[in-house]
Amino acid sequence: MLELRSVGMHFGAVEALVDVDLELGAGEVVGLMGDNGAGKSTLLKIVAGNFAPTSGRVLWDAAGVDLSPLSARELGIEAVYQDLALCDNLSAAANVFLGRELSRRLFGVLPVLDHAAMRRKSTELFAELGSDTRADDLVRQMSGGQRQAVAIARARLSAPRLMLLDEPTAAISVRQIAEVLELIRSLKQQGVGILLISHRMSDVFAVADRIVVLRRGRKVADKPTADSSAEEATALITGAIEAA
Amino acid sequence: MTLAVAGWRSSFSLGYRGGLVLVILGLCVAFGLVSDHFWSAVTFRTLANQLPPLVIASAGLTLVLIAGGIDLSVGSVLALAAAVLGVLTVDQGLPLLLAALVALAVGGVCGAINGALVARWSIPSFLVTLGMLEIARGSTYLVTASRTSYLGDRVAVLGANLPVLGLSAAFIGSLAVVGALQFVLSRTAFGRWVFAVGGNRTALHRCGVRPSRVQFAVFTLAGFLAAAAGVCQVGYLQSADPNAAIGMELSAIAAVVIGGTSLLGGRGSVTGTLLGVLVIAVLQTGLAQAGATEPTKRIITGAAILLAVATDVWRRRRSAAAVS
Repeated sequence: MLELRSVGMHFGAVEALVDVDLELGAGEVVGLMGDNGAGKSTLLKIVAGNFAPTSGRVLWDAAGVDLSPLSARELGIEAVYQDLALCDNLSAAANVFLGRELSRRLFGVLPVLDHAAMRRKSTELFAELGSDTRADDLVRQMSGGQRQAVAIARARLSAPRLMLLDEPTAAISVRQIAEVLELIRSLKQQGVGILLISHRMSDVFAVADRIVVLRRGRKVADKPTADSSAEEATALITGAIEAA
Repeated sequence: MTLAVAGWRSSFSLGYRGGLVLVILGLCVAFGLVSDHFWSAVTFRTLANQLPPLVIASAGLTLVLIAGGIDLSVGSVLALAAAVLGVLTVDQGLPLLLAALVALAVGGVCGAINGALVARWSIPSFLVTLGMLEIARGSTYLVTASRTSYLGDRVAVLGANLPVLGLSAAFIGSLAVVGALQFVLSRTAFGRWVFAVGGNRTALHRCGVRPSRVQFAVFTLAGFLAAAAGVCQVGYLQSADPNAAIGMELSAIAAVVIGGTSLLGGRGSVTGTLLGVLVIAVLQTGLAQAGATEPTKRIITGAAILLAVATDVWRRRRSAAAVS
């Protein structure tokens, strides 16, 4: 589905990514790991269309593409950033449909918000994700796991084929982490490909089919999770092992 | 029906607005006991007919505050629009309708300038509209040569009372403005975006809506409505005074805050603002009839504002406590 071929990115003299190859298929969860500054976020932003790579090619369904935020979205790539970008003062349903509000016509002319339809559809999305989030609750009053569910439900709205999750389990409690991992598993079951950026080794090993490790912009490992271990991954991230 | 305000928890804000209605009724009962004249058709008719300018200007201001901004220029823009209306009809002999349209357009332009500066160059709205407060007031003196225009019968139609209950057309019009704006806020996508800009503008931006456009629209609307308030004021007083509405922005902010809109943005309602205006107006009228002096009136009004702000803080704490 997604394929990166020797993708490179430099900012002036700084080489953020060098010759990175990556493949990701439908229903596959790839855990992207690396220390701060290893190039994880740069890679994510290239796939989300925020950055154009300075070298190499991005392929989607085996065809070369020039991604922009809009075209990435149209292809079916949705990113959920670490800050989630939710409005605390709005309800879950309002956040899910922000910018894509459903309308109906009052008296056949006046376009007004279709609250009932948006509530129904978000309730469906939360149920699909196995989350206990309620459509009418204010985001301000939600747990970290529920917030993540709102952000993921919003990304799900357009039925994407690839989701980019940036540190979805950072800064939430242990029980909520279990909730988020469950969300990722249910997305996988529905055939959604997932690129998961995470610092938390145990989370990656719990859900990822494959791990990819970046160090100083280079890919140093790309192997099935089953053939690796947390120890090996840590060593790869820090550079104790050169490559695997 | 819960007003279908799914954008935010309606029960809570309806509870607050319900509380305001009780406060207003309580004030009316109290003033009725203190003063023999308070409970009379004349009192209520007078009250209703002097309200429209503040109601209309505060309604526009409410959207600005929900979007996380502030507009200090509403009083000056009101005066400028009134002055333009006065000068065009009296000195230039323009027909009333045409002059009123020009006055409204002038207000819209003032608001659009505010909006453009706030949205495009990210200048804090407090500073932008403080500048506009001075510019619009200065322009008012320039346009009128610092003299009051007396329009007399020319604008009688604006201040005319409807056959029903002796209420003015302006009063009914101001209620219509409140209804329309509340409808926009709670029933349209644009209204949803106004709340979103006040809550988290980055989120709105990521969702494909340009927050700067929403801000521009909201400030332009506030300027336009301040001008509409000016036209109502002229209709009521039959004159355009260059010193009109000095300090009115403060009454308007007070009304909006008493009405339950957060000064920090992201929460509020136009119907609440209407109730906020009523609280202030009933207090002022009742205290005057009860024989309170001007200093006492101001102190009590100030205390009411502090009480509203304290309630706002308390509500914020309570909803924050619900998280943990």
